[in-house]
Amino acid sequence: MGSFGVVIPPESATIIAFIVVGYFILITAFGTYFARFSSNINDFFYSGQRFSWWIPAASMVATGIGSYSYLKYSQQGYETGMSSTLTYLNDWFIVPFFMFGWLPIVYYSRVKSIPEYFERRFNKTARYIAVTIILTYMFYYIGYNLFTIGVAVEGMFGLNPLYTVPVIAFILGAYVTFGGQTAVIFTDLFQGIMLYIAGGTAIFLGIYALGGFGDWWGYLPVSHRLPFVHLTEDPKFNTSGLFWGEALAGSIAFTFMNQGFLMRYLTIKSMNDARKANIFNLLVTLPLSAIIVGAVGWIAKSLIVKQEVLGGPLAGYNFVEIEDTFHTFIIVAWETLKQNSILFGFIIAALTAALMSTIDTLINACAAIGIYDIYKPLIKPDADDKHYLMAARWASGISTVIGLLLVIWFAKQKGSLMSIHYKGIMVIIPAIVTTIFLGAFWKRFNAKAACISMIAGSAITLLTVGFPDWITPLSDFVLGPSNGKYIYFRALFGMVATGLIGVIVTLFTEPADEAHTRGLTADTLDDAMITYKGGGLPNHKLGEKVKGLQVSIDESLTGLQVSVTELVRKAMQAEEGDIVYLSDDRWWLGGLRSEHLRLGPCHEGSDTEVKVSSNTFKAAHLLEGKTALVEKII
Amino acid sequence: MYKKKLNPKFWGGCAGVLAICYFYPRILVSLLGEENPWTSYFYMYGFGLVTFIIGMFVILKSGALNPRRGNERMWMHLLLGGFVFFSTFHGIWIILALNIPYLGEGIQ
Repeated sequence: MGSFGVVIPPESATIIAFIVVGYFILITAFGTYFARFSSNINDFFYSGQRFSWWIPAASMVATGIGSYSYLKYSQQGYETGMSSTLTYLNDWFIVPFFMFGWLPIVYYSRVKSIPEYFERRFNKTARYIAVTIILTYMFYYIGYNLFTIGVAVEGMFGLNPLYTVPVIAFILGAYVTFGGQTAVIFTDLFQGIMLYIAGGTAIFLGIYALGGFGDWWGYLPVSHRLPFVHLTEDPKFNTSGLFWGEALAGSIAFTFMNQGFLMRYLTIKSMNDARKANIFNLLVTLPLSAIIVGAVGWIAKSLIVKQEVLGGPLAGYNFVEIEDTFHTFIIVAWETLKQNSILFGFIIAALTAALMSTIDTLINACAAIGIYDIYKPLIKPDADDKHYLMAARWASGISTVIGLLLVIWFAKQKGSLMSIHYKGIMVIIPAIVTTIFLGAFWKRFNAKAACISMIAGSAITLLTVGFPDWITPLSDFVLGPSNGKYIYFRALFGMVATGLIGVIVTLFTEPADEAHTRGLTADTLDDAMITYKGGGLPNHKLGEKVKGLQVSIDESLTGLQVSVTELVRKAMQAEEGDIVYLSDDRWWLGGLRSEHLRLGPCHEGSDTEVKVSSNTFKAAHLLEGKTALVEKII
Repeated sequence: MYKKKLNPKFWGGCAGVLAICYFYPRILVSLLGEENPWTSYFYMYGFGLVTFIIGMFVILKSGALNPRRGNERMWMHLLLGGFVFFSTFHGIWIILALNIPYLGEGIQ
């Protein structure tokens, strides 16, 4: 049974199906549990900006690995070797722009969505052009992820995707709709662990089957050991294309305009912690993910070579043959697990985990745009928080349904999964990515230029689908491939075209005024910090976290105020009016029970006592009898 | 055209970057050849370095990164260290790939 390239007996298929369904139920229950932490609209989308860096950072593992990643990268690893890691390891070049440019702009200006930034930085027209492009990008991704898992399920169990995909979408929609961002983050955290365990199991058993690490490396051809592919040889996978199209355009798109990823950073308690999450993601998460999704392909290549050297199968294993490389992961995992249904079921559950964890983030992000960019400004501007929370849940449901409907369109497309993917993404992203970049780093860039460059840039990029020869001069200029198949260079072309239009229009029109740049560009970040703090200069003195404090109630404290003793204030290097962070001091909660507060007048009680009002105590989800920590934020 | 023109240094910088984009890969290929794995390495890290330096320049000049503010000097060192780490890591990787004997002689 099945067409994954392996023959799975019906009884094994039943066991695998049970494990996958059981996993789905477990995840749904886990996610909906966290609905209790979404008491208002800010909680629903941004978890109240309360988390320590490591929770969103760890949950990004699962978000960054899609359902297709295992299949796609194992295939790439088998065909071209360890260069499959390149797309995960080439992001450092743009880090300065992100970590000290775009991220603090978004964080301190407290924008809820990228289109909102467009309205504040440019105008309403720019906002709605951005909404259109970003939602197209998000829906495309949701539909594509659902479609790929439908194809995988069909291959394995012979079930029609038109029946299985709606069921999967319903389960996903359930916990995102009711749980919100907190549910998404915690389920992704759990699923990230699952992904690593499952991928690690497949890798460990594969290397074990080969006879150890030395044999794996020894039987891997030199071309497959290298971290880079040929500069231009393969039109679909070459170093020059990967640099310009993936390291620049793709990485900027993924980090700058992926609302789902940005929302993860916006859940973090401070800018310093957001930077830590970014560093962790680049230095730990991405390299590990590159190994997890690609290593089975490298093992497959080594295994095939060793079989050829031995003149037969490895001792104790079946002869492994890979006819359709798209199924590399499944074939090698099935055989090196010695056709163990339970372990294989666990691996397949991890594949579905990859799907769920990518889509839940996208659904939540689409809902955020739906509420903050469409419903609130255009339909119901003055409703209460409860109403928006309900609307947000509806928006999550609607986003899921739209993604589901797109599956019908994807099912009619021809070509490989990879080509369907890039056909859309490389056309959608260039114009908006460039506009974000110019808006954030060039103060003079104005609304007229933003609108014209987004529309004209998108149109020109779209036209290159029909006229790919337009890209040739640009590709030749940087010594890229000249073969008419410009998967990655289309994005670079779109960025260059959009950038040129933006620069020319800006130079012929009046510069953006101060109201549209203050706190919204890299050179006005000090203003953004002042606005974030709510007045007063930011306090950058380095202080300590003060732990082990007993929380007591003082109803004389107004709003979200906190009071500590003079000694604690000095240890934090804080001043009255600064924003401080009060949290349950059990580190492993990662800030789930916490709140940002304003430092009020010092009290004269015990140095181990921190005072807040009962409303603040409740808003922070603190528990009686548990100690807390305080830390100055800004 | 609007009165205020862009700084000539900016246009000079743009011309410099364009010149690098055109000449650097050609020099690289003429020195090492297209087949050499180091060509891809230097292509990626050469252009990557240009991108990274522009990024550092932009954030330092705009004041977005201020080494005298809070712990931002540490972050600056981390950014530079990260670049060195990845370039060294990939370099060592290529050396290991080329110098450890392949056991499947004749099989590709």
